[in-house]
Amino acid sequence: MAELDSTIHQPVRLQILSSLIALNAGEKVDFTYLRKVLNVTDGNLGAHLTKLENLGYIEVDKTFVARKPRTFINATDKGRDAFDKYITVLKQIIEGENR
Amino acid sequence: MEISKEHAQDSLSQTENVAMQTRRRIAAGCTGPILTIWGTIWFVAYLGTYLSYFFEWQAYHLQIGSRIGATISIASLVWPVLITVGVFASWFVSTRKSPILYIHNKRFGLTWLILFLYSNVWLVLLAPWNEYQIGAFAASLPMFAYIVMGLWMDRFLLWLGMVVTVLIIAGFFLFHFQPLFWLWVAVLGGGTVAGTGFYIQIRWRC
Repeated sequence: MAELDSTIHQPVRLQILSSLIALNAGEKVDFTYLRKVLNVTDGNLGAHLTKLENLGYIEVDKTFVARKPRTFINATDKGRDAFDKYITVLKQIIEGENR
Repeated sequence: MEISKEHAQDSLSQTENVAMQTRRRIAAGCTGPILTIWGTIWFVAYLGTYLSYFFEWQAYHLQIGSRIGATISIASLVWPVLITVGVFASWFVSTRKSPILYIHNKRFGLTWLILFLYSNVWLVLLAPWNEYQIGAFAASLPMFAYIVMGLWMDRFLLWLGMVVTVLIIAGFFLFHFQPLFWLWVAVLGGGTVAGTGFYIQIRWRC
C-alpha cells in the first residue's frame, strides 16, 4: 500500500513543489518570485527549501545576475518523481483505493 | 500517514491551483503588456485607415475628386511608423521584465511567431486578395491564438476568441467595401487585444 510522502504533504512545501512542477524541466524560478507567489516570509521559505533540497527534491542555485546576487530554484527529476507519486496516492485516497 | 478523502481532495485542488497560478504568472510576465501595446497600435492604425478610407469614400461619392492622395498616404504612413514603435516597445518590455524569471516561458512567444509566419506564407500563396479580406483575416488571427491559449490557460480567452471571430466575420459581410469596416476592425480587433492585455495583467497576476 503506497504511503503519502509526509515531507511533500506539508502545506508550504506542497505549494513550493506544485509551483516548481508547473515549470518546464530545466526552468528555474527566482526566490523572490516564489516568495510572492506563495505569500510567505524569507525565513519560512528558506527553511522549507532547505528541507526539500536536503532530500534532493529541488536544486538551489545561488548566482549573480547583472552583479546582483540571485537565488534560483528548480525541481529535480527525483523531486518530480516524488511529486508524481504523491499525486497518485492522493488520487487513490480520493477514489477509495488507499488510506 | 493516513488522511481523509476530503483532505486528499483539498490537497489535490491546492496543487492544481498553485500550478495554474504559476503558469499564469509566468505567462503574464510579458504577455499582458505586449498585448496592450499591440492592441493599442492596432486600434490607432486601423482608426487611421478608417479615417483615410472614410474621407476617400466621401470624396468619391460626393464627386469632389477622384482620389485624395493625402488621405491614402496617412494609412500607408501610420502602419510602418506604429509597427516600428511597437517592436521597440515590445523589446523594452521584454527586457525590463526578464529579471523576474531565470528562463522565460518561450512557448507563448513561439506560438505567436509561428502563427505569424504561417499566416504570411499562406497570404503570399493565396494572393490576390482585397484589403477587406486581409483586414478580416488579420483581425481574426489573434483570436485564433486566443482560442488556443484559452484551451491551455483561461476559458475566458476561449470564449472571447470565438465571439470576436464571429463578430469580425459578421462585420466583413455587413460592411464589405465600406469604410465602417475599418472602424469595426479597430474596435473589435485592437480593442479586444489591448483589453485582453489589461485583463491578463490584472487577473493572471492574482
